[in-house]
Amino acid sequence: MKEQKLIVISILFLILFNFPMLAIFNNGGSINGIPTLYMYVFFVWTLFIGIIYNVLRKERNEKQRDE
Amino acid sequence: MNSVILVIASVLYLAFLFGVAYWAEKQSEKGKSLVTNPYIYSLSLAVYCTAWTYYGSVGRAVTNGIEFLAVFIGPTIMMPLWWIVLRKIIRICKVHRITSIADFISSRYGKNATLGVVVTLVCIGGILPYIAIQLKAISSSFLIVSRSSGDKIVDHLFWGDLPFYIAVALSVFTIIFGTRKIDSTERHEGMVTAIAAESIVKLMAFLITGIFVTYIVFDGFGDIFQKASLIPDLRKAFVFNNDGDFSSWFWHIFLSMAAVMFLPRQFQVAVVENVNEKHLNKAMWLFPLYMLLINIFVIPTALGGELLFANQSVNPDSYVLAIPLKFNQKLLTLLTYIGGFSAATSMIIVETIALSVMISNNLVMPVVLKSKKLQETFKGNLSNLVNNIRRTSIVLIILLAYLYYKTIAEHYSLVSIGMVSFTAVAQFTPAIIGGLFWKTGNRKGALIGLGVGTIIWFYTLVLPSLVGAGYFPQSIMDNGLWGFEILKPFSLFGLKGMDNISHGLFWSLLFNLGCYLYFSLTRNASSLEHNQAVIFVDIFEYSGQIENSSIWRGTAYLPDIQLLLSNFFGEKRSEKVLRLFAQKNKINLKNETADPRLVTYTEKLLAGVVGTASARIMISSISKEEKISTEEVINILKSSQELLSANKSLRKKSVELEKATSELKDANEILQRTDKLKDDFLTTVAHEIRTPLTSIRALSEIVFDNPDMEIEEREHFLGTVVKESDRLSRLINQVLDLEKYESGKQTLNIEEVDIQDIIKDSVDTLYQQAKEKGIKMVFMPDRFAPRFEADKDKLIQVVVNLLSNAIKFCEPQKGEITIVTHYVEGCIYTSIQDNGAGIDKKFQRLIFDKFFQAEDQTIKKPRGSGLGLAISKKIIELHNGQIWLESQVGRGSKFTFMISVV
Repeated sequence: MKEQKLIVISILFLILFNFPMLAIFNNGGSINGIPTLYMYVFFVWTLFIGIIYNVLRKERNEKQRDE
Repeated sequence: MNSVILVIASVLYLAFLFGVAYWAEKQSEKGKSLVTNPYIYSLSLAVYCTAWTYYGSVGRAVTNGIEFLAVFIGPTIMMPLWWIVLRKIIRICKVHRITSIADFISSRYGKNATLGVVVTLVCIGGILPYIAIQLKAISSSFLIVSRSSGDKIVDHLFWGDLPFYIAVALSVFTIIFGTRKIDSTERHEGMVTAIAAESIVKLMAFLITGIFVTYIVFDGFGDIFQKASLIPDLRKAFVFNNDGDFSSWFWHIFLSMAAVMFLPRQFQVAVVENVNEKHLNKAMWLFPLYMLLINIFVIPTALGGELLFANQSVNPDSYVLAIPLKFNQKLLTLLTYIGGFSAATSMIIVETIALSVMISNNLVMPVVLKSKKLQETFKGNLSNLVNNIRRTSIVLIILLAYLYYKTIAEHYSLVSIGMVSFTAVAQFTPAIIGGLFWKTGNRKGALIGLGVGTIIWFYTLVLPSLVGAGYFPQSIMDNGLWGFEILKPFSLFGLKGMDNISHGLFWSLLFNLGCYLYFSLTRNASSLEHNQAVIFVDIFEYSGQIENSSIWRGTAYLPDIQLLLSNFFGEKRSEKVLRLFAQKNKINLKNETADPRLVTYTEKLLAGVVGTASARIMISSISKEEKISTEEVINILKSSQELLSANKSLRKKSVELEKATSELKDANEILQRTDKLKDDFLTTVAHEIRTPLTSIRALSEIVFDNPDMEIEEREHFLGTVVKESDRLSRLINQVLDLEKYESGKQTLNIEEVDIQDIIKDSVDTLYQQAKEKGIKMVFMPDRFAPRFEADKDKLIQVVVNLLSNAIKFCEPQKGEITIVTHYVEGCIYTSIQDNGAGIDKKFQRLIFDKFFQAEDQTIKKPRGSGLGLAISKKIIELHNGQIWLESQVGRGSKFTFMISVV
């Protein structure tokens, strides 16, 4: 189960971090003065870390419960 | 800043590294190992971020905008897959004692020495320039800072050149902490801890500099971007400008996904130095977090530098240093310099250790071991030889890198060389990933794929730089090799519109993968290759068995094995190791021929020291080997697995057996006790029967012997005989009764009854008797007591028994018996109270036992069989009720029985 979740996350973020998803934010605009593209990439990056952290914590808790 | 200060700072920093490494090794000797900590593991992975990250990213951001991030996004995306890919590699390496990427590939494809050589050469060729640019980064950062204070530094070769001394110091560090132990499966704890410390230093330094640039020089992110957006040239860096950018973004991500695993230094820290597979869990989010943090301020610094140094000839690669210098922040400059220094040194140290192991195990040792003459020369001294080879190669690598930097690397920016190195190690991808998951992949495929890929890599990425340095004619670039347009290195087969790296990566990997697949599918693999393929791909199934089963067949002699081992580990240690293994696996060490398991084990031990291929060569040199087919290998592994599970179930059964035995013992004890009780019971019954029998006999004899006895006397005697016979038969009836209850044969004749009727009937039976004795009987019924289901006759028997006992123990004329029924919460309580002698507290519980009165002959013997109460208790229990006694000596007794109505 853990393996499958991790593979799905990997594929999901490979898509989020690439064309054409990037093209949506590649519009030259800015949010609070920061270019949209940069905002997007760093946002997705943070999201990735959060998700991995959460998934692993849950897996660990479940494993502990099982034991 | 004065160059002397810089030199002192550099030396102090190196001393700090030595200190950390030394301290960590001391801690480990004390048993407080630091590397068992997942945070140290995660931090050591950050050796990925080199001087290239530190200085080069900023330079890259200036020219290509966000593109530099691809190199960090790739590893981030790869991290979750580490649980599937890298964990498998770690497990394989642990089981087989593999210590380098060359060893891994060579072991997977039939422990082939040639493959090990090729992989090692690719690594050296690919990585040497990469090490060189680290030295270059140290050197140029040193020059920038010291020149700013007006020091005139002249570039010398060797003596008088700081990077040369740095190189020497790093060689010393690497030799001390990288080659202390010969068995490279024993980890370099000092080195890893030092690397983790360096990771913290470089991150802190970069973050502080970034905060300085963003929040002190400028007014936050918004301010920098605002100002930059006014300049059209810089605005371009905010977005991807053409479709090609998306494609190179993708290829760079792909490339770094491979590099983060297969760069020798990454393989070293992530696989070889891994203590616990579970550390991956922490690393999976910590390492991406680290990369995110170290990159946050790259773009602001790049843009800030561009804004500050517009139209000045400042190299963007040096903005990190140039900005604090411009504002005369001496301490910050020094900190930044140390950060860059740490990024460069950590990379050099780990990369050099990894390469030195490959050189000794995959290049030199196979040659030494194959040559009889060389083997004679180093006989008995092989472990020193291995260590010396490693030390020499460390010095050689660093020296070569230094020379490379002095001659070629001067012409290139940091990033381009790093990417070329990445592409070199990416060539291992088909062989490794295929080898991990695809059993058909074979040696020929791997060798040819790797060879072809490397040639294309060289042609498309290295050759152009050599042309640029003037070693080859420019015409190759312009017109292609031998004038074939189609062979132009930057647009091979006419492919245009990609950047050089993506272009080179695409073609080299395409041909590499193509050859790997084609030859794997069309050529046959040897049996050894087959066997290794099975063990690698199914490692999680067999990893427990491989250690203890022999997947080797042939004859080898024990003295040879011992000699071989003592050559490397010394006599004492090798003897101990062999003895322990023999003990664990119950192998007799007295046999001349060595047990196959011992041979396999020896080979593994040697593999940890000299690599798989070399260990293979040594084992075959002392043994006569027989071929063993893959089916047999699988069978051996499976059968040892079955043996293991059979063992487990056997253990389970023996535990069950033990439990059954103890239960049986308990049952036996109970049985013995019951048996004794039965004996006691029989004795008592016999005794009770004998008493009336004796008097019957005595009286009958008297009557028989005196025929002329007076009629009155005779009647009296005969009356007693009748009474005693009655008592006898009653006793026998009761014994039979009790037996029925105890054996559970007694059934109840259930009907609806009324408790008042039962009591009235019982009182009627005994009325005459009580009256004769002058005893008063009072009945206080509870009118609300409902009718209930019970055996009427049996309950009458109980009440009669209790009443007759009461009558028996009451003094004549003074006696008073009170019978009370009471209905509470679904239960009917019936109590019979007398004002007789009462029963001592210590007998109250025993009184319901059969023949209680007989057990203690000293107390006043009550009249009666002694079975009445025992039978009463059985009857009440049969009605799911309870019976008990409350009594005080001198105040009478109160028997109560309770029957549930519901």
